[in-house]
Amino acid sequence: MASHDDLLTLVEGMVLGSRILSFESKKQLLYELATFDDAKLNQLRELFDKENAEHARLSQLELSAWNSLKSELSTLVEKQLPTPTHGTAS
Amino acid sequence: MEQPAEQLPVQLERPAEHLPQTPPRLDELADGAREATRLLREKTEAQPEQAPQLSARAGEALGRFGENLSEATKGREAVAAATLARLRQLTGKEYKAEVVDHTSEQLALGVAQKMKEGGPAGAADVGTLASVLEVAQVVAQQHEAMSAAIAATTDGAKNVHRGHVDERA
Repeated sequence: MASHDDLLTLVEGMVLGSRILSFESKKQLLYELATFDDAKLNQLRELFDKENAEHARLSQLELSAWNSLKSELSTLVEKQLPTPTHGTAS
Repeated sequence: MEQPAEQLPVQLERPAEHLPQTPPRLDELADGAREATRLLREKTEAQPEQAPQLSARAGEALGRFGENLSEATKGREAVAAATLARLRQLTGKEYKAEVVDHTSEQLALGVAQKMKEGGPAGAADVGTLASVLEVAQVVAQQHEAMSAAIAATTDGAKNVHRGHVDERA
C-alpha cells in the first residue's frame, strides 16, 4: 500500500499532467493537495485516471479520423499517402 | 487559498505508468497532408474534367473528418465539465478549465460543405481540393500547438510549485 507521501506525489503528477485544468487551477490545486487525506487523494487519483483515459480515447479518435481521411484521399489520387509510423502509444 | 511553503511536498516526479498518452506523430500527419495536396493538384491539373467529382468526394471525406473532430471536441468538453464538477464535489472549491478550441472542426466542416455543394462547372476546384489537405495540416499544427501549450502549462505550474518549495531551502 502506498504511503501518504507516495500517494501525494502521484496525485501531484496527475494534476500537473492534466489536460483540462488551467494554469491557475493547477497551481491552486497543488497547494491544496497537501491538506488532503489519503481517501481524498485516492478519489482524485481515480478522477485524473479517468480524465487521462478519456483523453487517450479522444486522441485515438482524432488519429483514426485522420487515417480514414488519408485512406479515402489515397483512393482518390490512386496513390498511397504516407502512413504515420507512430500512433498513440499505450 | 495558498498553503504555507513548509506544508508543501518536495517530490514532484511522476511515475512512468501515469505519464500522459504519447500524441500522434504530428510531423508525419503534416507530411501526409502536404503529399496529398501535391497529388491532388497533380491529378486535377492532368485531368481537369475530373475536378468536380474529385472535389465532391474529397468534400465528403473531409466532412466525415470534421464530424469526427467535432465529436472529439465535444468529448473533451464533456470530460472537462465532468472533471470540474467532481473536483468541486471533492474539494468544495471551483476550478477552471482551459478553453477547448473549435477552430479545426469548423474549418474542416466549412470547406467540406463548399466542396460538396460544388463550384462553377468544371470548377477550377484544384485550389479547393488543395485546401482540404491544408485544413488537415492546420489541424495537425493546432494539435502540435495544443500539446506545446499543455507542456508549457505543466512546466509552468511545476516551476511555480518548486519555486515555493525552494524558498524554504
